[in-house]
Amino acid sequence: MRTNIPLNASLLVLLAALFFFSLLAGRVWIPPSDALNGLFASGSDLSEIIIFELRLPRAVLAVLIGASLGTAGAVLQGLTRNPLAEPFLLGVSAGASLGAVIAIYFGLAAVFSAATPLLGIAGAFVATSITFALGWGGGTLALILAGAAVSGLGGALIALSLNLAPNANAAYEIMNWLMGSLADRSWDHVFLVLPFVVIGGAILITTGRALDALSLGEAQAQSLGVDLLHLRLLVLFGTATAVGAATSVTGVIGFIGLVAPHLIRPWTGHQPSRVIIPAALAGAVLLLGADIATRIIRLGPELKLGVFTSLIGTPFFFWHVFKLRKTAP
Amino acid sequence: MFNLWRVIGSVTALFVLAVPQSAQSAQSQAQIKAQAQVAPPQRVMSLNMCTDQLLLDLLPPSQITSVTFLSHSSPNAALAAQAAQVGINYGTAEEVLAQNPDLIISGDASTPTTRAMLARTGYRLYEVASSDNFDEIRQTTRELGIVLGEEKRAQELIVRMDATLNELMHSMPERQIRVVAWDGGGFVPGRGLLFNDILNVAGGINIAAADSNDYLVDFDLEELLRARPDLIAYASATLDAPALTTQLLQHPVVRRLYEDRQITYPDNLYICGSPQSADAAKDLRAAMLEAVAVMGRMR
Repeated sequence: MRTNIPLNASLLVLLAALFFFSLLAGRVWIPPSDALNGLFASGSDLSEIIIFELRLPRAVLAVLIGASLGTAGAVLQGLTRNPLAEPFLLGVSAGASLGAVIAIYFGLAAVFSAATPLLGIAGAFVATSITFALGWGGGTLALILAGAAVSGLGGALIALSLNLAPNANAAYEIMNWLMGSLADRSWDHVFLVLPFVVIGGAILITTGRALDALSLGEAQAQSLGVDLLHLRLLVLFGTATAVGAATSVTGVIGFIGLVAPHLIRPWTGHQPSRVIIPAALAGAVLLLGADIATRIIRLGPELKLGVFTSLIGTPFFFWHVFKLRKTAP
Repeated sequence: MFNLWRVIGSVTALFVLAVPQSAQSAQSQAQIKAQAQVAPPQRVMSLNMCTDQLLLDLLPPSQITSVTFLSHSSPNAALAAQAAQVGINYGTAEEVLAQNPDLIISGDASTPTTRAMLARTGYRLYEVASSDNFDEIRQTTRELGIVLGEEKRAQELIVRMDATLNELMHSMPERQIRVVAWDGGGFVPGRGLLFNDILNVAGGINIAAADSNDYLVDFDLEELLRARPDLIAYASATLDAPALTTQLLQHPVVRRLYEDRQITYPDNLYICGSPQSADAAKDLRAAMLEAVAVMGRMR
């Protein structure tokens, strides 16, 4: 796997700068020097508590989840050879939210905390399997349609489980939760998703070489020794693990996986293995940036992260649709 | 168990927010008097959870046709017991036709389609504005008393409420107890909600309300930590069935810093203003004093 060191280094510098900036963003102003101290001391001082226990885990989660979404987007686009593939559009997020909703509202999460990410992963796995099974071989349109159908089914089942949930507050809350947010997350959430994100991300990164071969065509890839079924299963499992766990903590965050790979392709070219790592970094930069924006832009209550990324991401989606229309036969 | 009333309460609050202040003022005295000219109603039906309580307090069960399912399944045992003595309705127009009441009491925001239909069909309908403080409770109770032909009973309820309020006012704690009502959702009750008045009478101060007269105030975890309240008050409804907020309530920082400084309040008694709201304030005073005493011993 060839790496683009200048690109990765600049993305890392940008990410580090945003990371520090994110520690300053919030309702309570904390001077940068105190913010630095708070990074290393988990004391009882107000600024230390806010930095170390509220803003730091939030920033870490944004990096982890943004990187997962960026990686998953790059790998899905490579596997499907489809520039519009990404977790949100393929129904992965809908499946994951359904799993998480069931875990939360029927009390499983209260019994053991890993129930939420585990059911999130299971939901993502089922949803992605259906999308792949329905949409495979039918080209861009079939895959996107299958993703839309699975998202629709996931949405309907979420509505059903809310309808049957024992707590009537649920309907209001889940509306809120589905909008996606990192507000008031804690280290508990970081440790809950960390193993899944690491395992899922690692699986996805290993698929780079096979995806390179696949970009030549399915027959060519098989002649180069790529087991296509094995590859699909790896991508399915990696995406479901990373995105499923991430969604169960944040709610639905769309379009990061779509936008991140496209943003860095001008520098990396289209070879999947060269796209994955920069796309992960770009995803982290985008999500962290978006999370800072939700805290700085004040229109009343805090903007929801998923709403913000969708507002930014949808025009990009439109732009791509227009591009496809021009190039389509 | 049913917690719909909480949702309905918040939804009602949102509706009320959207309506200009003048539109929600009660009907004019002339209209009320005109309503009362008719012979006292014998089959009264309440379509709104908040008017259920008032109606059950003002009229004997024999004159009440039905109250809402929300009161029948209320977590407030006293209300559920009162409701059990009369019929049930789900706020639909069909039930009105079937039960054929001679007076319908409803809120001024809930079940809009039912109320519109009733207005067309000529049923006698009296709309009660929601009470967001003790002054409005007095006014609402008095007016409903006139409409029901139970002015004396209404006056008794008000006198009893004022006696409780007086007692509380004259035994204020030495220092106001600084409270935030927290549900983990980012919004807390502001100065406009009945919660604020009940808390003040009980000897607390709602530090999230600040200078705004809003019903709900945007208040996040960072602000909570900075404000350093004496107590955090949780609405009991948010705690008794699994929900997201119960997870967020358990943010490790809140758990660590406020573990011994939490009280729960039965928020069903805070959504609907009635003469019984004074008793809610009395209970809140006791809960707060107990929590503060525990704090004092720890120091």
